[in-house]
Amino acid sequence: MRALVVCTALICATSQAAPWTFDAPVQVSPDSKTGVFVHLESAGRKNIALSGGAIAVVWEDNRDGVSRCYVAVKAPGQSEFAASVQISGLEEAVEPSIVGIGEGRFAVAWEEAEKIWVRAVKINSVGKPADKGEILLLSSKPATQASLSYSKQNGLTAVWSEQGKSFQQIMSAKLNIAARVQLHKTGITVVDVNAKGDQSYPSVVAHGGQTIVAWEDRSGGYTRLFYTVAHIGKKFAHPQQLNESKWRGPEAGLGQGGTGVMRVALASQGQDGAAAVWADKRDFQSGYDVYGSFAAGANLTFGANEKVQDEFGDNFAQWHPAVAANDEGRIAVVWDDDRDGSPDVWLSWRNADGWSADMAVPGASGNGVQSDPSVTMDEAGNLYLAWVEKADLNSPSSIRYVFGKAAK
Amino acid sequence: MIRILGLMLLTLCMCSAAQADAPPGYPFVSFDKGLSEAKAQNKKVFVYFGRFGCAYCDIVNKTAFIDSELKALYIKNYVLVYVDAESGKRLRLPSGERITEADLGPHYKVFGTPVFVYLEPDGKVIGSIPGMQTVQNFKDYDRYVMEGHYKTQSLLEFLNGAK
Repeated sequence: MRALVVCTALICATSQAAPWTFDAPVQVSPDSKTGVFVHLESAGRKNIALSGGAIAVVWEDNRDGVSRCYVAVKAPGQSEFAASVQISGLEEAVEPSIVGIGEGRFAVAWEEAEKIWVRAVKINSVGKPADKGEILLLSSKPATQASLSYSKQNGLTAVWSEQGKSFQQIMSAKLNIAARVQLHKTGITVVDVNAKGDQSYPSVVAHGGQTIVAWEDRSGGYTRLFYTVAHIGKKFAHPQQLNESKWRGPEAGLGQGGTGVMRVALASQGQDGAAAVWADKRDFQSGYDVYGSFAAGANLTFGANEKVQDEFGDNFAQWHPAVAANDEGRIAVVWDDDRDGSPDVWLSWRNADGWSADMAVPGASGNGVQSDPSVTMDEAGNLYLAWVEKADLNSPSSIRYVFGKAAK
Repeated sequence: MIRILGLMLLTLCMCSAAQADAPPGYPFVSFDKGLSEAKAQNKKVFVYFGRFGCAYCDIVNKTAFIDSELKALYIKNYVLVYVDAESGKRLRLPSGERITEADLGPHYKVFGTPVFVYLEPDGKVIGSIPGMQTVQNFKDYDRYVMEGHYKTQSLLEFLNGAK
């Protein structure tokens, strides 16, 4: 019976052709070296971005003994990434987030010395920074976990988690871009002025005249995901809960609680919508699953939660979900899990029947560890994926990249 | 009066909510500090993987870790480490790699909470126990670890033999 189920699933999987054809992967960071560890991590998992045909990846590594943030760029027409350059300042720096701001320019935000910093950079024809803007301090108190978004209509927005009077709270800043790469903060606001517990790991997306921010919220004694929407020039609306609570503890005498959610990531999707994915442990027996939800309508209200990964992934813990989408409504979700014996990067997409069967990304799966993916998509639906690669969990690591050509 | 009643009600609600930090009164320390202390003192490590809002952790705290005999036993025998499995708090692995507490999950294949992991002084894993446990369970696991039975027997073999 089980063989029949497996066979049926295989037939379904193979008949469901992947909408991308993947090139051979290329190296992004310097080759792995003993004692050097790279990390592709940021709130919202935005570590790869596009601008003017260039592809940029940001990460943190300790190649000189101190954690610092680096950027490497593959210029249009180039087959390799140019040598990486340090983007952060002089202190220990972590968790850089990047977004394209057009014309071969990128904005990068990161945490350094317990504060949030941002700068813009312009890339030349061979992927080297032709112009780097001044580093701008965004936070005023101890802060962490920055994330960025950009759209022509909404401009550049940064969000981060900052220590408030009683709790860590999500902050937002609008950034003006002057003289090509010089950033100026024009307004810093508290996203949820009624915060009643620590808020962390914000993700932000700007689309169709609206800005959406989602985050982890620890009010009430357990973690929930919240989101809010602001129209251009308006304040953020009262936050709404994003994840559905399935906790039935009180019925079993367990009291209030939550089953565990973390690391929400957002992407704009369709003409005026958005998608969110996150790690969700509502089925607590097999660790985190990848869940998602779509927002649509004038107020961008998120709908029912959907489990993204397929049934073969149900018995394994999924980690590090990330999402990319485009204006035509195409969407791709990636994460890592070890269902095939070692961590691989897995991909799922939405089609007419719902979420696809999971696909191990060619070049980002197989022997060794492929994990911590970050992904973006262009308007043609092409995928740009970066991840961390290492021989085993404790080995030195490096960053790899693969391009997925969209089927027409 | 209504306001006071409201505040009392809110307080009661907060009390019943599961915060599930490390049990009070135990000298739990961070992961990297614990491994450093364990190496220096040549002491085994007991790692408690909990989670903010974990009701099962809350129950173990209130039913097992409340026991004074167990408390004395574990403080004597182990360096005690508490990890919030969803936290972004940073730590350093024995390899020198800097990661977050949440990323200890993939490293130690911990995907639920609570999970209790026993480590050698050098950080090598002795065994991992998932789920809610009783005082007697923890005492049995302590014997398995401290008397060295893990070197020759699986935990199940040890527990069956002990009956």
